Amino acid sequence: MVPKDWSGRIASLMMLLFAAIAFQRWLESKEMFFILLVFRDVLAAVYFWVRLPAREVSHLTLKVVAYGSAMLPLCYLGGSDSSIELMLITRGLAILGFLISTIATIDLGNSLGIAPAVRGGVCKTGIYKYLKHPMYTGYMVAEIGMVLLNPWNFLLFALSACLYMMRMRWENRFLSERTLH
Amino acid sequence: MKSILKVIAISIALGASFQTVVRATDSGGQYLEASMTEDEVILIDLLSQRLQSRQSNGAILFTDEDESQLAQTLTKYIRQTREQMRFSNELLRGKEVMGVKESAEPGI
Repeated sequence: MVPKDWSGRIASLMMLLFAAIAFQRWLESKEMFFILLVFRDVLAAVYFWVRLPAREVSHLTLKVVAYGSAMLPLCYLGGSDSSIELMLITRGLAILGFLISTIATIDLGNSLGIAPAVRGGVCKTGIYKYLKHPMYTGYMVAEIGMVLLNPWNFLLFALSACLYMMRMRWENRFLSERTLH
Repeated sequence: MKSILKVIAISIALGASFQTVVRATDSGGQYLEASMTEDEVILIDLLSQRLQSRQSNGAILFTDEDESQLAQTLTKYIRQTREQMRFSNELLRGKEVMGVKESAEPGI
């Protein structure tokens, strides 16, 4: 019998909470970014619930940074679609970005984690064949649209991008130290 | 299972893209309205109210052709009104300039 991964259950509930906040943000702003975030977060919550227990987990600091970074997209400010072109560009970026992130989530499946951990082998199938960090890439693509929609979002985007970069470096180091790369 | 989920994700993305294109097409009218002046919006509202009241009395029923003709007439009217306003403003400005000239060179 597979032992239960309680941290996965907690992460799942956290993702559902994020999804609820994203839904609330969508109701307020009607920005497509937030409703796509809801779909992605619900899918992630399902995978967290059934994920494999970790053989080795990362440091607490890394976990806190990872959760903070995962929460940042919920804080983006909405804006008015001042032109049809801008609306098409921002929504197009949101659709493309979340499609990349969602496919990455599906490819990771029950190995999904917010902070790096050893759960099975390193995923090198699906979209991971072409991109090393598709989840962060997708998020950044979608978030660029939010910056175009409201220039004040640039500050949040800069912080978010820095955190993604940090997470990418930490993940690379964490996995390479365990000779999984 | 993964393939099914990916198909669902791609379908949602396609649906969202379609919805965006539809919204962009619908928005054309809204942007036109946003570019109108307050007076023009009031004028169109007034016309619309009058036409609706006549229509409810059974006096007029619009065909698509009528609507298109009405839209063309309104556009033409708005353009002419704008031209007239611009002309009036220029005239006013011209008078002011002349007034300054007169006072600057008395006796001419």
